[in-house]
Amino acid sequence: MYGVEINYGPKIDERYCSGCGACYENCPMDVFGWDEQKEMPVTVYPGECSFCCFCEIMCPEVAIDVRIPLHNLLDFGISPVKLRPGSDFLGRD
Amino acid sequence: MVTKLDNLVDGTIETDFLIIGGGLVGSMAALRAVQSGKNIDVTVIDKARMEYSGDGVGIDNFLQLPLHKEDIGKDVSGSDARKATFGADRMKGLKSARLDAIALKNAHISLPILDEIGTHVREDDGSIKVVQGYRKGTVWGRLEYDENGKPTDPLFGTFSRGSDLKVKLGTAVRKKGIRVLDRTMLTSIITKDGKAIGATALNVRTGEFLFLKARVLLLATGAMTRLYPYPWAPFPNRLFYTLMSPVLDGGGHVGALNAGAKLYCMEMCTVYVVSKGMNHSSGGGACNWFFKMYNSKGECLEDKYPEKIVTKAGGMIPGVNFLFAPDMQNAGAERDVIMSAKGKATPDEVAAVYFVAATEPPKALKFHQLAGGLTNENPVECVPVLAGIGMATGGVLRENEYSETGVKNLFAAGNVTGSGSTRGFTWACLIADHVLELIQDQNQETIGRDQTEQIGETRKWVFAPLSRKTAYYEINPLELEDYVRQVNYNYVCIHKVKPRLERAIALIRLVKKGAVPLLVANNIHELMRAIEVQNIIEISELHAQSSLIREESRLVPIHYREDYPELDPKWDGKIITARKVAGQVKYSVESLY
Repeated sequence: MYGVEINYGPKIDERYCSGCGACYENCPMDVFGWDEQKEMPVTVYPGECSFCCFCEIMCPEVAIDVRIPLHNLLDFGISPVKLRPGSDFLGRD
Repeated sequence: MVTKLDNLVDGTIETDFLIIGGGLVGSMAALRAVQSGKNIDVTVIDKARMEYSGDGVGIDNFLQLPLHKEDIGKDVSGSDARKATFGADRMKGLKSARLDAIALKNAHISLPILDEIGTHVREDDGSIKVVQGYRKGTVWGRLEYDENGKPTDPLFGTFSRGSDLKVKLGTAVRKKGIRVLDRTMLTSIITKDGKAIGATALNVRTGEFLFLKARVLLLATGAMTRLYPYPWAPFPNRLFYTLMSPVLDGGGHVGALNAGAKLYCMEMCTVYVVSKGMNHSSGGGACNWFFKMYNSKGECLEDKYPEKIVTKAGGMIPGVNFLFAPDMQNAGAERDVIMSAKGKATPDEVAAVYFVAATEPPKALKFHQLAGGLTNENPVECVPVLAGIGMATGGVLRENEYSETGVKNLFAAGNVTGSGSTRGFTWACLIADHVLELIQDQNQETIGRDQTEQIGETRKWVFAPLSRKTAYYEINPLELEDYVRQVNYNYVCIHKVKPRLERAIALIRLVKKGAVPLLVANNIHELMRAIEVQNIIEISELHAQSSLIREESRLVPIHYREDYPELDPKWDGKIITARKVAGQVKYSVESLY
C-alpha cells in the first residue's frame, strides 16, 4: 500500500496468544482486527500504531511485542544489531 | 421532502447529560454527576476504549495542585501565584482570569473522588503527595528537600504515580453503571435555536450512526494533537507518533465550531522538547527537566542563560526556552544540535529521570530497556516537537462562569478549552454540579424539521467516502493527512512569516476543494480516518489564519512571527476568535477582560 512493508507495530506471537481479546478491546488507535477462524487478534493497521505499548503490558500471556521503527531506534542511540528476535523483555524463544 | 429521523440513524438514545469524550475530564464529570445520588441519566461516548483513551493514559506528573490551604482561593493575578507559573503574566488576557480564579478556588474539589477510586494523591497524614513542584520563580520539576525529607516550600505540587489513574477512572465509571459507548466518535452537535440538544455519533467498529438526544452536553474531547507530523519517524507512522495521544484529531473543536461556538487562540501551538527517537518529554532522560543540555560549542545552556529562561522568555517548559528563546530579542538563538547529557547530571537528577521513565507510559521504559537498560550513558539529542493545540493554549472559548460555550447547554472543559488537566478535573466537577441544577428545569426538546435536516446533512458527509469506490482519483485519508500536516510543518510551524502562511492557507483551500471530495474509505475504520482528516484540515486552516492575524510574537515559541519578532503591547489581552456564520468562518480580535 505504501510501497514499503511495515515491519513495526504490535507483533502477536500466535503460539502464546490465548485469544482473550484484551489488545483488540483496548487499543486506543484500533490497529487490531479479529480473525474469526483463529479466534485471535491480528494487527491490521501497524502503520497507525502510536507505540503506547499498552497491548504489550496488558497481554496476560506476554504474547505481544511492539516493534519500534528503525528510524526511532537509531535516533535514540539503540543498536538494532543487539536486539534479539522474539520477546525483548522475557528473552523467550 | 424531509426524511424521517428513523431512516437517518441506526439508533436514538435519550439522556440527561451527554459527555463527549471519556478522558480524564469526561470520566470525572460522569462520576461527579452520579455521585450526587440524584436521578440523572449520564452517557459517555469515547472514540477509543474508555479505560485507555485520551491524553491521560499512563501519563504522570500532570495534576498540579496548590499544596497549602492558604494558597487556595488566592487571586491568580497575585504576584506570588504568578511567579509560580511560568509565563503566567504573559498569558494575561489570553485566558479568562475570572475562570482561572474560580478553578483555583475549587482546586481540591476532585480530591474526594480521586481518593474514592483508589489513587494515591495523599500521604498518610492527608497532605497531598508531592513528587515534583513549582517552586517560587525557579525551574520547574526539581524539588529540594529539607532535613525532614519534606519538599522545601513548593507553591504547587504534582502528585505522581498517575500512570494507572485513567484506568481507575474508567473502571469506576463502568462500575457505577453509567452508559458508556466505546468506539463512538462525535460527528456533529445538533442545535435548536442556538441551543445544543444532542449530537450525532458514529461507531467506528460497526458503522452504526447514532443520534444522542441530551438535555445538557459536555465537550471533553481533549487537545488537538494531529496538526504537525513527527518528522523523524517513517510514513505513515509519523502521523501517529505524537507526543500526546494521537486519538485526538480536533473533532470536538470542529463540532463546536459548526454548532456556532467560538474558538480562540488557534495560532498558539504548544511546543515541547523531547528526546529524538522516543518523542517523549521524559524520554531521553528527561532532556528538558533534569539533565543538562549542551549546544554544539559544549556550552551548558542552563549556565549560559541563568534566570532569563524563566523570567524573560516565559513559556511552559524550560527546555523549550533553552532551545528557542533564551532571549526574546534573539528568538532563534540556540537552534543547533542540543544534546542532553546524563553524565553531567547529579545522582539525584539521574534517579529522578529513571523514576519518571518508569512511571510514564510503557513506551518510555521500553526505549530505555532496548537501549540496554537504565544504564545508557549516551547523550540523547533534544528536538522540538509541535504537540498541538490545547495544552494550556487555545481551543473552544468558554463564555460564562459555568464554562459554557457560545452555544447554550454545550459546556466545555479540559484541554479542548485550552486549560490543563488539573483545571479540567475542577471544571468537570463544577459543571457536573451545575448540570444537576440545570436539568431540573430543562425539558427534552422536540426534534423539528431543522434538526432532522442537520442530522441528514451530517449523515451525508460522514458516509460519503464509503460510497466513492469508483472515483477516478481515489484519495487515501492517511495520505491526505500526511500532506496537510506537511503543509503545516513546512509553511506554518514555529518560524511563521506572512508569505509562507498565505501559501499554507492557499494549499489548505486547494485540499478542501480539490481533494476532500475524493476521499475514499474501504471500511469503517478507514471512514474514521477520513472524518478525522477533514477535522484536521479545518483546524489547520484556523491555525494558519489566526497565525496570520496576530502580528506579533507571544509566548515564543508558541507563537513566533519572524516578521514581527517582538511582543507588542497593543496585543496585550487580545484574543483572536473564530466563529462560523452561515458556513463561513469569521475571525475577530476580542478582549477577554
